[in-house]
Amino acid sequence: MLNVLRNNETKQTLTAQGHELLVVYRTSDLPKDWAQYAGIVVNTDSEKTLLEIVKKVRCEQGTLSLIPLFVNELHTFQEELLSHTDGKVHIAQVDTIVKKAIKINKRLGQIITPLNLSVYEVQIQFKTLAFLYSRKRLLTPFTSRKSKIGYYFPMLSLWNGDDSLGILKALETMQHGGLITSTFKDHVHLCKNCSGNYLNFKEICPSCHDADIQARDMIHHFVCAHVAPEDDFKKGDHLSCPKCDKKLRHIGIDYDKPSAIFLCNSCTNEFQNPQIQAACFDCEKENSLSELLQKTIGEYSITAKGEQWLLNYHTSLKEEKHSHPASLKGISFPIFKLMARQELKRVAATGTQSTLGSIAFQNDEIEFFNSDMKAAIQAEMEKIIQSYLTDVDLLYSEAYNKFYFLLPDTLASNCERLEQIRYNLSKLLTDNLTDTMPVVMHTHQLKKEDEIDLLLNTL
Amino acid sequence: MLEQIIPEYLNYWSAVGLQKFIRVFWYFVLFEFTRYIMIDYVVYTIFTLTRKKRKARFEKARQALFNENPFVSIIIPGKNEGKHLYKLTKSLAEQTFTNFELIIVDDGSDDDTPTIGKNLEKLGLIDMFIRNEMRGGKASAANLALRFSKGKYIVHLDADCSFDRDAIENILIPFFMDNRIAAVGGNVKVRNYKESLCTKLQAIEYLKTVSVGRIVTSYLGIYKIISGAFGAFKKEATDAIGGWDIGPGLDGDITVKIRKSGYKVYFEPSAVCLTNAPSKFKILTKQRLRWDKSIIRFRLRKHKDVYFPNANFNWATFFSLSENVFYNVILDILWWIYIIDICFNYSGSLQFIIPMNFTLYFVMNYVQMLSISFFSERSKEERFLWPYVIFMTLYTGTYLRIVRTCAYYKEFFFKRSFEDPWNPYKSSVQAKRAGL
Repeated sequence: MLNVLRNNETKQTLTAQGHELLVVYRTSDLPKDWAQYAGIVVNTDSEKTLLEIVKKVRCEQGTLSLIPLFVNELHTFQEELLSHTDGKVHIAQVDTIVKKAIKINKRLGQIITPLNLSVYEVQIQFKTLAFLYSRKRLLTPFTSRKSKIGYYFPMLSLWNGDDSLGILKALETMQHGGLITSTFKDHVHLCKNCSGNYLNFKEICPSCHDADIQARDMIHHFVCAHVAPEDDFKKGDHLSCPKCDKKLRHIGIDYDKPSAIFLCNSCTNEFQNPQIQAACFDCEKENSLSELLQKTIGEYSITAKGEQWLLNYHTSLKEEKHSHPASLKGISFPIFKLMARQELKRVAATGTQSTLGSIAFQNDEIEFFNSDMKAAIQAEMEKIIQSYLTDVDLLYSEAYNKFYFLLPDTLASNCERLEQIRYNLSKLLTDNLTDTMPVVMHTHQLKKEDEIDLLLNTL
Repeated sequence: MLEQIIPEYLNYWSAVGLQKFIRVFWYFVLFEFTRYIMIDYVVYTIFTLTRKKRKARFEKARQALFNENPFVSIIIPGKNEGKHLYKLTKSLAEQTFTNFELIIVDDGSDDDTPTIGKNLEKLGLIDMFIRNEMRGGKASAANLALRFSKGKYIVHLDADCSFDRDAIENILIPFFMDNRIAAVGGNVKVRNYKESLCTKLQAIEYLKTVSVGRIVTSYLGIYKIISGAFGAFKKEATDAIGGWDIGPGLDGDITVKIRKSGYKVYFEPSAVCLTNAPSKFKILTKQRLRWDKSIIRFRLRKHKDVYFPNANFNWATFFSLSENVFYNVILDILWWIYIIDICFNYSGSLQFIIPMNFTLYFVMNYVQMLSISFFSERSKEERFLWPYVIFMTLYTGTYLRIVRTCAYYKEFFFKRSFEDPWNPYKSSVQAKRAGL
């Protein structure tokens, strides 16, 4: 049963199956209580109006921002803008629109809004997952010249604005966390300085790096084996061999062009393999190809883990809040602490000699690395330390520059392995980095009166 | 049986007398002994007597080289040589003379050479890597490298060679001994001499003909071939003669062209380069057929003007080519005449003549090997080859002679060198048409 109501306050709604959809023509049509409706249908031909409405709705907090939002199919809009809506609808087919809205709302209703939504990263993660879950669709980026990286992401580009790289990073984080999965769509190459995709690829002279270079054909004169750039052979309007003075008449019979050579008009260097440079139009930075930042663009979909994260958000959040990050290949901090306490009890009971220790160093260079690089360094160092530990030893890596170890039945003063660890870590750092402070190793022989928490804070 | 044969054999030769001995072995006495024993030892004696003077002259030129420190272009044209390039760059990085650029021309390789070359260029191990998509032949590749070389001197190398640490230095020194020297040949030796009998025999042959042979001809001023594997040229002289012409045999051809331009050519024995020789007789035969054809094509046909009095006539060039043609072509024909002569006139004594012939050559080869050891800077290492000198009579006296005869026949009557796949057909057909 279809009813179209138009009330006196110019508020227009569409009703079907007991659900009410708000129809808006202007931004001012959007009442304060728009969230009460099952969805919104925008009926305007103004791109500006649609954008204002989309922004107002989609930039709300939590699931409120994901309210079904449709556009009257009579009007034409850019894909970027439409991607933030739930698509075009025929305004007369209210039943269909309402069905769509119900489906979305039903799934939105299952989602539990996290407590710490004020944390920006959490909000983006939540909204992305909620969008994927409620719409049961892929997050498919599409090419757009307006996007800095060349790809525009539905919803995410609206939330993150120009920070396209931030979007990719957020998606990568979610993917690493197993919350979403992706299928390959494309690679983009970005400026190393500003992450822009608007690049001018040009061939440059490998000697002076000037782009004023000119390709010339090489000519091979068969009969005398003379080979030189075409200019050497040009005599007026014909070709003549500078070596034997014979006229070159017929390509394939008298001569051929086996290759080409570039001449730099700036430094007169002649070369066959020009360098390729990508100059950024945004920041004017000149990148060599190897310097360009390569990013993978995918089509993203929510995983079972992602759905679980959305639906049991509070539980998982609670678990995470009280957990320490697990060591990359070793054990987590609570387990390490537990084992250390257990070892202390064993020391007290049996009088055995066990050692608790730490390894630390400081390097300003690594501080500027991104988290992936730091994690790689941490893994590498952990690997080195592990190679000197026995099966009963324990290692916890707190950060790339801080490690704790527990050596049961081992006295530090008699342990050559520790010196080897220190030496190898120092070598790794000094071989690869400058200004490395020495690797500091502290050890403590466990005594029954020790406090593990205190020891871990002081080591 | 043997107890009967040996006294009979000795009695026969003690009875014949010197006159008949010379009559029977006229070929050996007149040509082989004179050229390969007498001249070698005379030159060696002169070399020994003038050692101090030569050493002082060499040292003075060496000082001049390092005072000027000229920029040198090392050019390496080749096809499918990518696998050798990294080793070659390493070998050159060890050189005592370092002021050079390295230009490599890839003549239409169909293997990984372009990738390897471009990578080495990117890594800075090669200064210039030029690739021709279409193969043009070795001469065109060398000319291409010459066109882009900036050095005062050009050193032409083969990619599969390696060099003594002072090889580049030593090959440049002769330019500072005499301003008229425009080309210097390096001393090419066999690196893989332990690989097979074939390479061992070639190693001995190289020592005889390349090392000692060229010392002698260079001393006499009739040195006629600068090996493509290792040769240095004055850039101005090479430019003036238009670089290399179509091969096969382009290294001998350019030497003659330089001579004809009025320059001197020189052999420097201390500029040592090691190369891999063919390890199988089948491949060696192909190589030698190619080399030998080039004697007819270049020495007899293309540069025949050298033998006639004209405005550019030069005695040294005349003798240089004449010696080459005489000892290769004429003596090859004479050898067959000698065989016929012996078979017809002494058919009843062949059982005495053939063993004596082998004995003479056997002795001569060892005496010659002794002269090689006097000249060589690696004589201790080369002692390894001494037991194999015994096979040289068969190798040079029979095998190489037959190959040479075949090559001369094919080239003289059918100009087969123009059909050699070593050079692309498109170039060969034009060269044949132009009578080159």
